Amino acid sequence: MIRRWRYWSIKVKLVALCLSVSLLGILLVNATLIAHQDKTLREQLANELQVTASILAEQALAALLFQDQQHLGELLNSLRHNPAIELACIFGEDDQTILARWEPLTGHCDAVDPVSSGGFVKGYFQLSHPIVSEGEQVGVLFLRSHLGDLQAGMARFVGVSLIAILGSGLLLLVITLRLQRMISGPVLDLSDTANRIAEKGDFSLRAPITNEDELGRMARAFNLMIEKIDLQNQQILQSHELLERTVAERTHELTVANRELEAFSYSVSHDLRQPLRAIDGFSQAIQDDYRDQLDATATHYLDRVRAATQRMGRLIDGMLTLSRVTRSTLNLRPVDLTQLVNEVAAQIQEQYEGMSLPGGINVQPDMRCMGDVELLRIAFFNLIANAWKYTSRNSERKIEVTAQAHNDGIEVRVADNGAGFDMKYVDKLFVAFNRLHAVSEFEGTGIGLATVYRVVARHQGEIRADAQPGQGATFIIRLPCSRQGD
Amino acid sequence: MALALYKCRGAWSRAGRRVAAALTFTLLSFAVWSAPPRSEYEVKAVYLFNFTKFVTWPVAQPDAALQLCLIGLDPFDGRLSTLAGKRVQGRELQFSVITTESQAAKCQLVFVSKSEARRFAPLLDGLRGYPVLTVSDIPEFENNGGMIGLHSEGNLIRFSVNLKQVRGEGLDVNSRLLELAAEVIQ
Repeated sequence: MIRRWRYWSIKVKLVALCLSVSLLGILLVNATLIAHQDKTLREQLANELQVTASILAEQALAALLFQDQQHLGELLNSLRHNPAIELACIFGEDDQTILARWEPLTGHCDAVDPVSSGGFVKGYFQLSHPIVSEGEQVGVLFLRSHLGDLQAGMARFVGVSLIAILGSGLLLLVITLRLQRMISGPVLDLSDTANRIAEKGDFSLRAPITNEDELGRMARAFNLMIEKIDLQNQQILQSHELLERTVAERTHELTVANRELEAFSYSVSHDLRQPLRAIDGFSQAIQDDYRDQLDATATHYLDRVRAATQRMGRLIDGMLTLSRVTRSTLNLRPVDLTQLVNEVAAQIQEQYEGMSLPGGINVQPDMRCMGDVELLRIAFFNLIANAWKYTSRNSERKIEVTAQAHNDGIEVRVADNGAGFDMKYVDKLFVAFNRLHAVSEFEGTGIGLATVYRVVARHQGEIRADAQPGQGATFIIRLPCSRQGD
Repeated sequence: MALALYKCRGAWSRAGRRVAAALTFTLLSFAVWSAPPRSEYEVKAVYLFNFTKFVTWPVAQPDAALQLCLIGLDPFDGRLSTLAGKRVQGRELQFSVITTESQAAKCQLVFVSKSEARRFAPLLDGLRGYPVLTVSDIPEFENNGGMIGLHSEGNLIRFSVNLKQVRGEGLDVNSRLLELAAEVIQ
């Protein structure tokens, strides 16, 4: 029970405390009263018997002196009016001769030693009273009283005490139950308020303050604390809003700037094509129309001019693609990646017919994800074209496109056994116009991987590469398969 | 807390046993006095001494000795003189053997010996007006102007009191003594 003390509510604790202390007090008082009552009753019994003995002794004196046994007998016989007295004997002056006896019950005067037996003995009270004449003892009166009255009196007293204890206990319980509210009430209010604040997060709640004691002070301090928390919360919210607004403003500014930049780069690329076409067209016209007048060197120069213009055209195309990838709206749909990659692979095989080698492209069947099919086509075209390109100097070509589930998305790996690259340049890999190989080694514009990076980024995905020079390269793309982008 | 206490007067069931016991007691009370046997005059001497305890004399001098006197032949075999020196009612007991009624008038208690059986009347007449308790074992003593008469009933010595005579001389006898008397002449 005591071990469970800490699980009790404060209400029960208060009631238990008050009741136990009060009942202990009441029990102590009652025990004292009972002990005192017992003593009083015993003293009373002793006194009464002493008085009876005194009267009897006086009455018996004359009869004793004149040896009137009959009279003594009659005298003792008068004790029948006192039912408490069980045995009465009158002894002569030698303390032994029994001159008269009153033996209504089992006791016998013969068994009595009037000299040494007195007081409370074995459920009796007995006394010996000397019968004195002129200072001389002429006999002894012995009286024995049973304790029935005393015990009945004590039983009654204890009974009444128990009733009083029960009654006062009940009364105390009622009073304690009422009074404990004075202490437990504010505590419960406080804990209730704290609970509601914790559960609902409503910092406008306040604990009621009913009195000015320590509990009142506690409630006041609690309210103050809640007020401060509320204030700080508001400040945090305000600064958070401010921050959000600033971020939104900056993002907007950045978006506008980006859009302007992209529009600029698109129009520049677009506008650059026209003069380039003119250069190429007129160079070709010179070659065609003035072939006879040109020597071999001039023809070679013109070939160089045309090659350069065509390369510049591809650069512009790449830039336009990059720009389109960035600017176009994202159209998310379920995409059959296997089919897409197969189509791209077929296109590349057709386009780069001259670079065909033993081996080819392996595509894992049944790859699916969410995405913009056009952008993904551009991305995978670039990746597989790269792989094709960088394996063109191998004796055997081995390109593998595989996928596996990753978290709630898909991880696609495009692995080749081509030239690879040094991982210390990996940072430059996805940046436009950065190339890890010379144009003379492998043809390229340096825009392809930047475009792939953009596409993956717009799908909220990730791209990384793993390679070693001469050991081939692996590009790992993670695409989320949920409907979200940008 | 006021706790009243009521004295329980129970045990009525004991009443029957008590009556039976009382009957037993009555039979027992006639048993022989178990004290060692004493001679008749030994007992009478004690009686005389005890009478002085229950008789009140008119106050003369509180400290004065209480005179116990014997007139006639001494049947006590000198035992009365052993009473002298004892104190009764705060007074010292003195004993003297007397011969005349004038001497008797100074006594508080006069025992008239059986030897005076034929001539105690003039003595009593002479004591008229004096607070002197007269005691004798002469038969019919109390009916002939004496105050206390002693007589034997078997082994018991009983006494009769002529209360009229006693009170007439300004003496008083304790009622406890009268209760024990075989006869009280009013």
